[in-house]
Amino acid sequence: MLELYNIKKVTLLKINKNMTLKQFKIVKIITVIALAIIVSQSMVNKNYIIPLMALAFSVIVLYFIRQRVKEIMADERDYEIGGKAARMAMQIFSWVAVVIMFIFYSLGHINPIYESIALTLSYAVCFLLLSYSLIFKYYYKK
Amino acid sequence: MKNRIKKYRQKIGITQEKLATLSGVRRETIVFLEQGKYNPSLNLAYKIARVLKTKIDKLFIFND
Repeated sequence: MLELYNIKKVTLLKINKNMTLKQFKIVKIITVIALAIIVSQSMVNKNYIIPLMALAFSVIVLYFIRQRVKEIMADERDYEIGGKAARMAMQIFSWVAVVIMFIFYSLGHINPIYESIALTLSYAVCFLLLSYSLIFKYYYKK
Repeated sequence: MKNRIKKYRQKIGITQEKLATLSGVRRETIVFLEQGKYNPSLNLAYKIARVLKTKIDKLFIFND
């Protein structure tokens, strides 16, 4: 009885214990690896419900674990760097996609599938730029 | 922009970690601030000045 009580006490202590940022990062990496394995295996087996369930489960688990991290996870410098990185990534993607799009479009006479790829890329770039403009406008007015 | 964060921090005897926690930022941000590699927002500058018990104009040196 005493042992059981001790086990319960220890378990409770462990549950209530706050998590460090390093521990959270390790848990996050393990979760992402597990999720990648589940998704890839499910895709091979042509099962589409399990990956969705696994994704939802991992999001919930990470959300609750994140609540236990009392350290500051991100500050204004991180957000500033994040903004710059996102802008740079968007510009690089747009330019690369546009160049590839023109190359594929010019190869359309060889195989019609190239034209479809070029069209998909152009729509992807348009969607990206449009969503950027809308989000920018939203934050600009806020 | 140059600053005297390190000087004032050492004066009151707190670590970078402690200053970071009290200012609501990560320790790395304090490191970059002390090295002069990052210019803080007015909000953060005010918080740091308050923690270091000084004024913003004494903490940060503006140079054109």
